[in-house]
Amino acid sequence: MIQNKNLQEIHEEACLSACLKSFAAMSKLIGQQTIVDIVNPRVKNVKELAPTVGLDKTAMKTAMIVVSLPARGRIEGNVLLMFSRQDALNLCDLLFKREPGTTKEVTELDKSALQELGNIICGSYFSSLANRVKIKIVEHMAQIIFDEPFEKMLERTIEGLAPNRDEVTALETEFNFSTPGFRGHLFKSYFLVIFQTAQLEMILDTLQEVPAI
Amino acid sequence: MSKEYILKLYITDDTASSQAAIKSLNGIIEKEIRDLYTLEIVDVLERPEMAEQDRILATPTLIKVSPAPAKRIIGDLSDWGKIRSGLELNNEPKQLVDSDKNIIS
Repeated sequence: MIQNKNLQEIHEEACLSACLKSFAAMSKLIGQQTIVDIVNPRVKNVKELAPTVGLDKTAMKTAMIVVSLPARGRIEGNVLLMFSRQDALNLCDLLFKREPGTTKEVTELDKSALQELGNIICGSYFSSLANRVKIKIVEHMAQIIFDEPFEKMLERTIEGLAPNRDEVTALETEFNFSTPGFRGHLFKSYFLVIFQTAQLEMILDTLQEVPAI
Repeated sequence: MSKEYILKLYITDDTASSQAAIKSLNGIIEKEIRDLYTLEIVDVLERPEMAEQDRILATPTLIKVSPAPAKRIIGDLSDWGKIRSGLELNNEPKQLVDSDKNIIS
């Protein structure tokens, strides 16, 4: 894990840029103004991770709905955007302009819409990050994962990147948002980025060698 | 005595970012423009139409309504430099004059 001031700043910038871009796109998509609450982004040890998306202490064991967007190439990583099941159902209502509380089960069409939304948010983050650190990030296909406990999914994601937890760095935030269509309701999502630490360190070192303009 | 600064702070519910923004902003303005401001705090969950009218995209957003020009600061409000610059407090404190042309600071 890296505790680097530069990395914290880069993550903050990427989060801000990604949330402004992607939620502006979402506002157009649903025809309602979406307001995103900017939560302080953090660099964390993987062992300390636990999502706060409206879940209690059992969060690590609780099933969630997740959009996963892997990146491969010069930097290998994965972005996970997670919603509680109830907020995923609410989101389906929002995306398809249904009355709040209509969606009880997620259809294939709903899944595809959620996946597309996740793709926009996660893709915007990668794009902002790539611009900031001046590297090309190659995104793979976004995947949607249903009803898998966070802990299990995290394990699987880390295994795909590195042999053990000490070799990855986690960057997290929350993208919480509201719309007039769901008056009084705050949609909560947990956003987690995991990178191979060694690759991230190399990129940060390269950045330090280039004088700021 | 008329207030010089009219500020509007948009927040979402009582989230951590909202609480941090209120605390931080209060600290700054109480120190810098004490008694010379009006601060309205708007929760977008309670008043979405007002947020829509002001075209709020993200919270926390601080709007300096007056003195003109209006300015917005989006996101982290813990940075004193950013707030001072947004509120244009960079210069020496100016002398404020009330409607009877009395210097009040």
